Amino acid sequence: MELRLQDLFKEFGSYDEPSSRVVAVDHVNLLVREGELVTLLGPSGCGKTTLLRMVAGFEDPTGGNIFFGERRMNDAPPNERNAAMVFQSYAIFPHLDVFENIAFGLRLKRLAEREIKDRMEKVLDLTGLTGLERRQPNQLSGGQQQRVALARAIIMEPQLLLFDEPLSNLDAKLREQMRIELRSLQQRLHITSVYVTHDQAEAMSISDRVVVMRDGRIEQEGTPLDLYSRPKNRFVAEFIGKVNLLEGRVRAGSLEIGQGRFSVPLARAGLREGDRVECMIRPECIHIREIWNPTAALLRGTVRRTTFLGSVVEYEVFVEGLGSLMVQASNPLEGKIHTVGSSVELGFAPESVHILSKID
Amino acid sequence: MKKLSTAKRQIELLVRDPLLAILVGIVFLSLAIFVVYPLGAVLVKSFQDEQGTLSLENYGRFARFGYLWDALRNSVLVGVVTGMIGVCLGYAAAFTLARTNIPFKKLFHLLLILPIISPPFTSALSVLMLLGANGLITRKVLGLSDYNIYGFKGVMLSQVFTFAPVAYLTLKGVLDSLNPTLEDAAMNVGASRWQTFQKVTLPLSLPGIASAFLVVFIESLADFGNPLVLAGSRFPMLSTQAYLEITGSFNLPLGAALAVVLMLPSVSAFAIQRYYLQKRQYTTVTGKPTSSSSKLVSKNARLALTSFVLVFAMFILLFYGTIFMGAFTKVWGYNYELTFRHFLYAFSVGMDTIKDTLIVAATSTPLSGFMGMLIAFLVVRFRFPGKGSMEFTSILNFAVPGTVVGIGYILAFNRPPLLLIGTLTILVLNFVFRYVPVGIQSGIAVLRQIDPSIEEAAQNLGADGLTTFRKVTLPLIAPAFFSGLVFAFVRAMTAISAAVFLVSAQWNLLTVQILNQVGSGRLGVAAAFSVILIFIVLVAITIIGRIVPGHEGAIRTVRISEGF
Repeated sequence: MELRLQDLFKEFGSYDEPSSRVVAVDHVNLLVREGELVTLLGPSGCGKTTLLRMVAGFEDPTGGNIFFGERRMNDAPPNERNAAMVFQSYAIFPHLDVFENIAFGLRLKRLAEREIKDRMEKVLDLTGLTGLERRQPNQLSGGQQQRVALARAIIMEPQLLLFDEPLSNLDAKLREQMRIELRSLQQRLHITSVYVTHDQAEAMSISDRVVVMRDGRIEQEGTPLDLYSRPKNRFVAEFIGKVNLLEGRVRAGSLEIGQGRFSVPLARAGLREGDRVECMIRPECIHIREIWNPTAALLRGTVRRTTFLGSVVEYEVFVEGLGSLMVQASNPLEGKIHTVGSSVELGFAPESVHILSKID
Repeated sequence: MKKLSTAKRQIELLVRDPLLAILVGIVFLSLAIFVVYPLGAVLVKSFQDEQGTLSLENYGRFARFGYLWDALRNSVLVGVVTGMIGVCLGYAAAFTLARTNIPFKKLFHLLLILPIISPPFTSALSVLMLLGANGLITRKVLGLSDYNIYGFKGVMLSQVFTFAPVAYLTLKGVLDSLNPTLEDAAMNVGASRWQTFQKVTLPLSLPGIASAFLVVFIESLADFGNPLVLAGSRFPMLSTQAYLEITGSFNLPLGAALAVVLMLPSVSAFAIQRYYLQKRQYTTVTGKPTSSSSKLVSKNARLALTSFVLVFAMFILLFYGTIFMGAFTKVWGYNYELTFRHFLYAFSVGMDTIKDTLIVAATSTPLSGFMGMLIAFLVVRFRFPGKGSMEFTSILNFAVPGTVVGIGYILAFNRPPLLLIGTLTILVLNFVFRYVPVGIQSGIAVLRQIDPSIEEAAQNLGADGLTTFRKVTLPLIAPAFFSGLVFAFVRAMTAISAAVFLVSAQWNLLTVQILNQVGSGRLGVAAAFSVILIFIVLVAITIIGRIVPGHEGAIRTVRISEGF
């Protein structure tokens, strides 16, 4: 089933006092295709959770429409939507054991005991909870509680799965593991899913498509690769991954940054000779090496900071006329690690420079 | 205008949910009839003369009759002194139990709160038996004859004993919720134990101390039994004076005016406590279990505190032991031979009273329990016009001294269609509306702790509103519900200040019976009734405790999931 949001609008606060009104979701249009996992990504307060809660039916939209397939769902109560949600706090019923927590929805549907048993077995197996059926919630670890919340949702065989920052309460290691499990489970079950998070790494690793939101509006949507390599604006560029922002100028059909001149394809319409533009380059796209030919170097600089992170080394390099650039070198064990104060030269492929906007 | 249209929108929402609308309507109506109307009746009556015409005569009497002024001054004086002494004792005891590892903690705790579950004037009885003219200590031990315990010292002593445990319980809660890590942190940066206590523990518990003081002050002002037994004729106090004006002189308007005067300091103290202090309490609920640091207390301090708690507990044992012995002693003060005749007498004249008391308590307890949870649920989970005033009104009867409520009920329900005087109904209604606030407050506290997403999760899985309440909310608030029940039952068994106006020949209560026996000098019989009463209460608490479903873990889990 596909999920379609049409001009969805949500305003909080009293109608009588305009000053108290806050627009949480601002005319959002979005299509989530059958079996797709779409992540809503953004800083806190961007409206992503409100959007999800409207889909679940916990908030009423102020305007616009929510379609599950062809059916308009605006007025359906939350208990009739069959859109199972995994809550940030897990919301496990503290008075029920694991089995009864997971079976809660099925019992409401008055399913036969045999059918409940059958489904339970499968779901316990899928989520790795077999053997814990009779545990009380307070006897579970954080990861196990998370699995119970997930199992309770998928056992419903919902037409839509909703995730509200489900991994934010887990420690880093477990979070990465659960990400992979969640993703493979979702793909196997082929359930249309909407996932809310503020963690860009989580969004990148789990999603078919990512929707970046700010102030209730969609800034950009696309595959993780799209968003990372071709962000539409500075906000998206900075929110997803690390980035160097540079100012350039169009000179003789190519882009001039600092002292260097690049034959960057200026496909972006409306750029003319002499225009100033804001562009970006990712730290790992910049090559760093010792200066061996001072005249040929594109950019020369001095290492200000070296951070060894294991798989990569991160440098802050000061370049005269450009300021500080962040540079990432991979496989540091093989090459040389540049110490603070050493002079280096930097280079990059012209196509790794991405123009964000024209500066007026 | 703006408010009006918000209200209109909320009413529209109510209409969409007729069950909710009906519930809200019923609650409002019953609060109006059984809380607001009686209090209003007292107020109106106080501005009438005996013929029923409007007049300021009753208040004018304060200027002319010294004993009315004295009554006000005495009541406030006793309240303040009792409050201060009670808080000092309560804090020391609470600190000892919360911050040191003294042995038999649980036993001490139970002993210290024992006075809370017994009728408020059992201590008055003990004081009489120990320190009265024929008291065990005054006459037998010290050989004094005609020692006069009546007046300020008697009332105060008895009230400190009765209400210091209330302060203890409040302050124990405050100290338990103060994270001991803060004390560890202070010592870690070089503060000595005394400095840590002085600069961290004490300032953090100050709002709690002020709050405990006001609670004791309110209880002391409202107290009826201790003054009636121990104040004596030369030390008039407001609550008893109002009672005497009405039952002795049949002067309802003057009684009402005294009630209004009594109400002013208690309601102001209540308002300060509730709306000012409560917001300033530092509680650090993290959901993580915090082990209390016993490093704060040095060996010597621990010894001193332990001995203090020991002495405190001994006094409680002495007071109760006196009652117990008194119940089996032929003529206290003269003939200390053992006897059962007080019990035989109590059962022969008092069987009906015991039965009445049980009926009243057994009827009002579940009613106030359910009503408490219902109002708590409505207030926390729904939006409707007048929600704030619903919460306020439902708490009002608790802040107002029982004397005022009792007078209000006889004024309000003495003519058709609400002719309830002398019936079982009026006693039950009185207890229901008087003690429902405790259920409401504990219900609200628990409901606010339950993460709303737990209820959302149930809806998300297909449960409608009613199913969610039945299968998720109700089991989670069960512990609060049952503790509300215990409280309502204990109070229905032991309260007197309002009930004393409402009992009749057909329906009498044990507490009133005990006071009558004290009044006619039959201390042994009074003691026997007290023993019976305390016994019933203890049995009932045990039974209610047994049938509480095993959800002790529930609330803890809720806290944990909230702490993330």
